[in-house]
Amino acid sequence: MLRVENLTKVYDDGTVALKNVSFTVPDGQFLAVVGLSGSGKSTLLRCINRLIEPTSGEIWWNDAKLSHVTGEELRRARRKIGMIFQHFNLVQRSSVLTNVLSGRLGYVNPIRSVFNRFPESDMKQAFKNLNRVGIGDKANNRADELSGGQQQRVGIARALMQEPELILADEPVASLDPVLAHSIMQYLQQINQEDNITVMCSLHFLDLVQEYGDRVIALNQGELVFEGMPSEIDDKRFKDIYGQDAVRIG
Amino acid sequence: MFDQNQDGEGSFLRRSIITILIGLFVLVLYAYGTDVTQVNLEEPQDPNRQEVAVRVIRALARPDFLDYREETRSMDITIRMPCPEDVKGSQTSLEDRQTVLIPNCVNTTQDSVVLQGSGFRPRTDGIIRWYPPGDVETTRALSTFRTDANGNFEADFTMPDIRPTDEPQRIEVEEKWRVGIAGLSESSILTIEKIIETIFMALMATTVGTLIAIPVSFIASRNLMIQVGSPLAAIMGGIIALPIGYLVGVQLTRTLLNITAVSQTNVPINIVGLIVGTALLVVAVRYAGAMLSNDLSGGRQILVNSLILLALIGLFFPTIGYLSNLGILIGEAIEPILGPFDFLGRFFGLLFEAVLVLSPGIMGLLLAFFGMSFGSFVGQEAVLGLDERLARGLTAVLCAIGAFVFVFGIGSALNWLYQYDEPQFWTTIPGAVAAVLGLIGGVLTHPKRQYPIGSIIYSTTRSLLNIIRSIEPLIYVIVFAVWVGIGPFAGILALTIHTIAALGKLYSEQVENISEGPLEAITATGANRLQTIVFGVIPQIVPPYIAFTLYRWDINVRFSTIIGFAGGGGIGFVLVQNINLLQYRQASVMMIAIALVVMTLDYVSSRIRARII
Repeated sequence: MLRVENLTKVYDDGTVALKNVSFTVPDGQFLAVVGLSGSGKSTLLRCINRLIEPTSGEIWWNDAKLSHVTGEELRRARRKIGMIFQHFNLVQRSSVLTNVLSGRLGYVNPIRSVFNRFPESDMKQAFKNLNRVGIGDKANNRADELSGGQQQRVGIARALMQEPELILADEPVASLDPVLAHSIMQYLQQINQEDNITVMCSLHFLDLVQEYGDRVIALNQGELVFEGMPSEIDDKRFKDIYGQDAVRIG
Repeated sequence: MFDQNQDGEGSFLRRSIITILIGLFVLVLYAYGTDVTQVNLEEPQDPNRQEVAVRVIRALARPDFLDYREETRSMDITIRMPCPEDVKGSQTSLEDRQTVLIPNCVNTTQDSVVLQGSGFRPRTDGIIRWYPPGDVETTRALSTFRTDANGNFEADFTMPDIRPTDEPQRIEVEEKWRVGIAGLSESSILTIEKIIETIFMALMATTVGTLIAIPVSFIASRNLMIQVGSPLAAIMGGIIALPIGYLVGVQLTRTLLNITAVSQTNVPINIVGLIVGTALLVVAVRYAGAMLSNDLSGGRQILVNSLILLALIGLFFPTIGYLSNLGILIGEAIEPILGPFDFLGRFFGLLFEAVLVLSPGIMGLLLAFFGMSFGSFVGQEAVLGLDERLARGLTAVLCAIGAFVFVFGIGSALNWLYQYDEPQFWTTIPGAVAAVLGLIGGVLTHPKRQYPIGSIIYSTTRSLLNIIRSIEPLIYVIVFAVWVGIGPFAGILALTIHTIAALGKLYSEQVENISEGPLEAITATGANRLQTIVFGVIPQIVPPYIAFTLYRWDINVRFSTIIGFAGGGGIGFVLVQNINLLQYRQASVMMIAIALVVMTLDYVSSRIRARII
């Protein structure tokens, strides 16, 4: 279970990105995070695996106090949390296989990994995960030769290599067309349901939220303005989340 | 309205005054500039100087590329000064050539003599020389001539200003003509030889400079270093372990290599040592590979890795020692056999000698680095793991020792450099003071507080690179010529130093330009810093690094053409000699060669760079 208590993040320039955000995510849930651009969704996700240092508040993953681990412990905590990015964040000039294997870096011996020597079992796992997302034949291509949808699938395979208990997805489909968006979301749903991995996913489109989210939280200017079921977002709540001028489409 | 108008007038006046002042200032600026740079209109108009300049330009326009083989033929005739009592006709013939002197003797050096010749080679240049009586070696050219289509010529001359003598004086008539087709002149051959030397100087400097600049560029890049923060204990742990690592590395390597030094010239022992060492090393690597695949918790993993590394080092250096001994012996043995390729034998020997000489230093640096990482890791984990009071105590102790080591080290360096004869005032006493201050600082600070050690290292490295880069290789070469002697090696060292600094900066700017996304992603998988660099940074910087290395090679070739001016070998060395000896035709060949090589490399490297990026 993920528990976030009174999380606040103030950037060095004084921007308040998160204000006293508290919520919990039960194991195995698909939690959608919605809000306008700049509402603090990315900051929230990055505070959980500490790519961004929270200013105050606590984050608990089961018994581990994620907000306060450091050094070796932080590395060990991070390797159980997969992350998927809007811009895929693959190493463009490396092969798909290397990109996927980099998901194991938290587990393998640093000296071995630096010489690009991964255990046999990791290699097998990498191919298994690539096949799972349907691009097993692209293993030896360079990442930049792949289309956007394929690159995001590599990103998912990389996250799966971590054998994660939690996956953080930061607008995973915002750079993709609607058809690809559904295909990527289906992979996430499959991982959530089959592997029982908790997924926390920020999204722009409410139809995606309603189709895939078990539960939804909404941020507006760093504050938690809604928490509940996707179907509960009516026109009034919509205006609370997206502002009074927003018009609902689709 | 009125006010506005006045205001306008006032500002117009002010603006005019300011404009005039600026104009005056610029005038003064350029007047002074003209004066200090000694701009001069009289010298260039001086006819003597103009004549010299024209001569130089004409010589430069006729580069001494080609030479013909020349053949000469000469015959003698005698002349007397003053005229003796019995004047006889002076004429000689040799084969079918005849020469006649009219008159056949002179009384003073003012009297003009005409020398007529016939039966010479048609349309051929020649020279008339005078030989003094006796066995004196000196000669003097009296005149030159050119024969007509029938092989006849006429030349007039006066005798040189010498004392009259009764002896006959020898006059030599020499024809000179070219045979065969033109071949490369001596200066062309020298130019080719030196241009090759120059290109290889640039190659060596670029290679070595690149290898050193790559690791330097990582610690000189802002984005990799700025987030690195450590608790004081970790920083101090690193400072303490760094010199220990260096000393251990140097000493260990020396000791291990000394095992093999006793049998330096004994071939069988070296062969046996090499074989046994290699076999053990292979076994050890296998075993190490198996050990490394285990997933251990942080501290134990570091311990295991270090032990494995140590064992490998223990086997590696004796093996390398035997190998190098053998290599040197083989190099010596094959050098006479190889004939024109004897440089391969010398290179072979030199390579292994370099291994022996450089190993302790390289190992020292490597272990210093490892020691620093290990020390700071231990410090960090200890402080984070302990409760606050213990952590504070540990931080204080580490700060005291670290401050002592730091100040002691700097003091020793100063003491060595300036030869103060009181080491305790520069090392022990300030060290002790620093230790006390460190202790106090350690107690006062919060043990888990992160200090921005990364940005300190970053700015120190950057400043050092900027200082080193701002001094031209032409100045470094003067220092190195003193150390290793005038020649290309000094040039290589000077260029290498400059290359490290210049490439270090260029490379680190490339690291700063990489996209942060992949780094973020790889950090999120739980990778450590080294892994993040290897998997996230290096793939992104390979193309720009190759491009900048080529660019630098290009620059180094340009530099190495002139580094010889200051004693750095290469073509510059012979070029400046030719200029000093006023041999402008020869110098012209070298200048043209430099231009050609630089242009070619410019073109080639830009083509390759265009392909890579």
